Amino acid sequence: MRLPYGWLKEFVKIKQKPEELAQNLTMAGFEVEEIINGHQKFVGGPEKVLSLEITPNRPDVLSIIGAAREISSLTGQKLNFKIPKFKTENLEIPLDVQFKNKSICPRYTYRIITGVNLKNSPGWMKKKLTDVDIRPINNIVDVTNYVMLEAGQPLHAFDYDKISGHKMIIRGSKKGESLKTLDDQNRKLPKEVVVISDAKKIIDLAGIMGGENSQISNNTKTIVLQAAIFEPLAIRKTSKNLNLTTEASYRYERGVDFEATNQALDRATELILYLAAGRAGKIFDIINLPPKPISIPVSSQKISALLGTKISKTKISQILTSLGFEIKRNSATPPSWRSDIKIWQDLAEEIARISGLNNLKTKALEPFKVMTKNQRFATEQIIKDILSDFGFIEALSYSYLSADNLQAVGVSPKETIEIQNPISPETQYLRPSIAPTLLKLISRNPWAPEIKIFETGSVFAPKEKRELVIAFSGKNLDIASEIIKKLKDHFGLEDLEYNMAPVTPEVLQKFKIKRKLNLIIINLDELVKNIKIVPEECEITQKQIKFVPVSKFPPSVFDLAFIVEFEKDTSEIASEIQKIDKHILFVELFDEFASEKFGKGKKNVAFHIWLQGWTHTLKDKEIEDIRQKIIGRLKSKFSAKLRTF
Amino acid sequence: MEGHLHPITQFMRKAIKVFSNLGFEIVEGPELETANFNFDLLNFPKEHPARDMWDTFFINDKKSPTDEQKLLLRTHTSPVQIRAMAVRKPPVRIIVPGRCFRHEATDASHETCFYQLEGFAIDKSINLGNLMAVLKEFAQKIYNKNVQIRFRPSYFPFTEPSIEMDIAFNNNWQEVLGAGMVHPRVIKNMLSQTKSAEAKGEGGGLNPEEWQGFAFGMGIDRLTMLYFGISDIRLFYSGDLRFLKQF
Repeated sequence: MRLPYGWLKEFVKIKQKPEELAQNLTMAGFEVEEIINGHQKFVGGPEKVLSLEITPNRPDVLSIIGAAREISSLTGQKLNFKIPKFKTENLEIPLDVQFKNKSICPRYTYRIITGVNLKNSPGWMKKKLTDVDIRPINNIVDVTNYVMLEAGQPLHAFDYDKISGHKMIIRGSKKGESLKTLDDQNRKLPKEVVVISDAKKIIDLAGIMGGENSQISNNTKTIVLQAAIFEPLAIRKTSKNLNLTTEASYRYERGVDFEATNQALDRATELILYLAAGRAGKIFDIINLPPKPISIPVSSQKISALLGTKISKTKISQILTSLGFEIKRNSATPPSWRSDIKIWQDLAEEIARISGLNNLKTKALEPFKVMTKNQRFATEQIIKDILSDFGFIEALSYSYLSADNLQAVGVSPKETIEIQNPISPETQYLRPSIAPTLLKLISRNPWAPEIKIFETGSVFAPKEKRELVIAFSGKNLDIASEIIKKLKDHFGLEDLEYNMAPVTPEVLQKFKIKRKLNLIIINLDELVKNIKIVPEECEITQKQIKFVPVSKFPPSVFDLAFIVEFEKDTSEIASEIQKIDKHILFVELFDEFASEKFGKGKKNVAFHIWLQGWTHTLKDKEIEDIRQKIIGRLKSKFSAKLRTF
Repeated sequence: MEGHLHPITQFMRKAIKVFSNLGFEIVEGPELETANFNFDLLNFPKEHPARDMWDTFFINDKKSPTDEQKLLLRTHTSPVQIRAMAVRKPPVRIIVPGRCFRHEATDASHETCFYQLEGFAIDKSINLGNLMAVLKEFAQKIYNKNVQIRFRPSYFPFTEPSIEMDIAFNNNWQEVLGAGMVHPRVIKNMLSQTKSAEAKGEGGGLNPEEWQGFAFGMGIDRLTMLYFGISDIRLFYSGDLRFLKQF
């Protein structure tokens, strides 16, 4: 919702500058996302337009007047409403308004204005409309939009002479009917959409968009000006059905103030007479279904208990009254524009937000003993710690994948769960296993010297269950049996069912993975069911990490091995390498052992060195330069000798 | 070679520990949910714009279910409030970690799947002051004891009053979680889903005049990004070892 500061000031005195007002509104529950320059110019500079996010429960603030009311309540400044002044007469221009279904149109208010002159709106109106993101069209249509933004009441103007039989029937549509709307779209209407038809045809998609066949044009001499209340659910259903949302439908589906019709109609009449000339007829106000009156008991004791801060009866009364509530004998009646107020807790929220949340008392909870330990969760965490100790890296992949991905692992999409509205075919089916989504991730790391990766998560096979998948490269399968043994020992499992297999060359090729991979798949739910040893508390890391953004260029990875005295600190050597060049991303020790063949008191240390270019992929010469620097530095600092093979 | 846990796992553990120490029990729920648990029982009116705030992935269900039984990917972990209370009697303190889904365009701050940590407490005379105290303690324990926080009024169908908490990072207020006092209609839906309650004629659930609660939900991906200084949420699901090996 766009709120121009100058326009607001027409309705309430504002002492604060726009930035301070924005802060006040944000802290009252209306988040101001930005302040932009408007098109109107004032003495002090351009108009400032506050751009607010209005939550769906506060449709009353989808208007300048609604926002002004809030500001008045927050600041104590009085509201300034002008009563529209103009002459009306008995025009003797007939219009028969009928309702096939009264519940879809609780109130229908209209007036006829004749002798109007269509032309462009004056500059001030065009600028104000542009400031609230509305495109100016002509003086009459512009007034309907202007008053909608000002008062929150959507209005519509029909060309009277285009209404056949001078008859308007508000009804639900029948299947097969159609209407060409103002946006030049021929719309086939499903049944039960709210429409207005004349004696021959549909002329309006009520509450959403007018028909081209009744729109205002240069030849229009007489208009029917409508301010109506339509049933929110009916409008919303129609809007969703036709995939059409307008400023009017947006307001209707959230709820428009039942009492706003007459004043808005008068304000629009005054403006039309001023800008387009003409003579105004009397108002016709048809009330089909008035809202049920609401009266909520006010208990300062209950409100204070809910908020945790004692609020006096007087303060509660004062706040509610400033918001337009009527307080009578310990009961509060909300103003007509607050359709969101239904229960006493809604009153408590008003008290809390106007008092200021950060002014309320806070109080710590009493101590409480944890009821039960979640065995499943704890087990999964310990498994992650165990795998990490084995040098594995935890990944997380999407829960969905494409039909191609499924077929690549021999699963038919028909056997899986399909998303009705996926973002793309790439994410259309729920994964029956982590294996294919993990393979996708692995394919993105062709430069990694080895793969040791795992993931736990939910899969849908098609029943939802928890799965653990472990992937590792290389020919040595011992690691698999070591892991299985460790899991069995740690949790006292008599048996651990698992699926281990190398990924077939066909599958590797389909996922564009160029190295040999092995997968272990374990049903976590089954594992957890069978544990005999209760898992301990998992580790909480205290590591301080300085995150390095990931470059869009591929890294280069090479190995370096050195022979060095046994006593030399390997982690110091690694740290020293890391410092040598800003392109060095990781220094990973992957081998360390002492052996007589290196000489007495000597050991071999081997590192994967990851180099990363930030502006380009590093060229061979740049890589070689860094490699030589490393060799040189280690020789001088640690007397390390490069081991050549 | 060194192993690494995913940064989300690492942060989630820290967050959970703060609440475990306050007596919160960990409860989990399904990712594949029904509209009933995801929306209806949480006081989302049918056909209401409030549901638009939670853009949903719906499932193609050949069985043509009723509106309530329609399957979807859960948009938040809040359904577990109802599930957990179907088999528990208050007082309770519960946290719910889990993966959730939103039908949104992906960019540096938005992903279609993400992790949430939900928490709620049901007791007699629990209040908004308790909620704000718990959330403040969380912020102080995770970030640092001088962390700057503020609360703002907000709107969720399942809480009344509803609030949001912001934390100051680099002189900017960052929204980190939503919370509020559990709506009486949601309290009434607790304990009313169990067959035993139905059999005893106890349908009607907890009495909101007797039991109150507070609830909060935090986006863990976002909080993890703020904690480690990560700039792009998509990295979490990229599997890029240059990312994962940093943690």
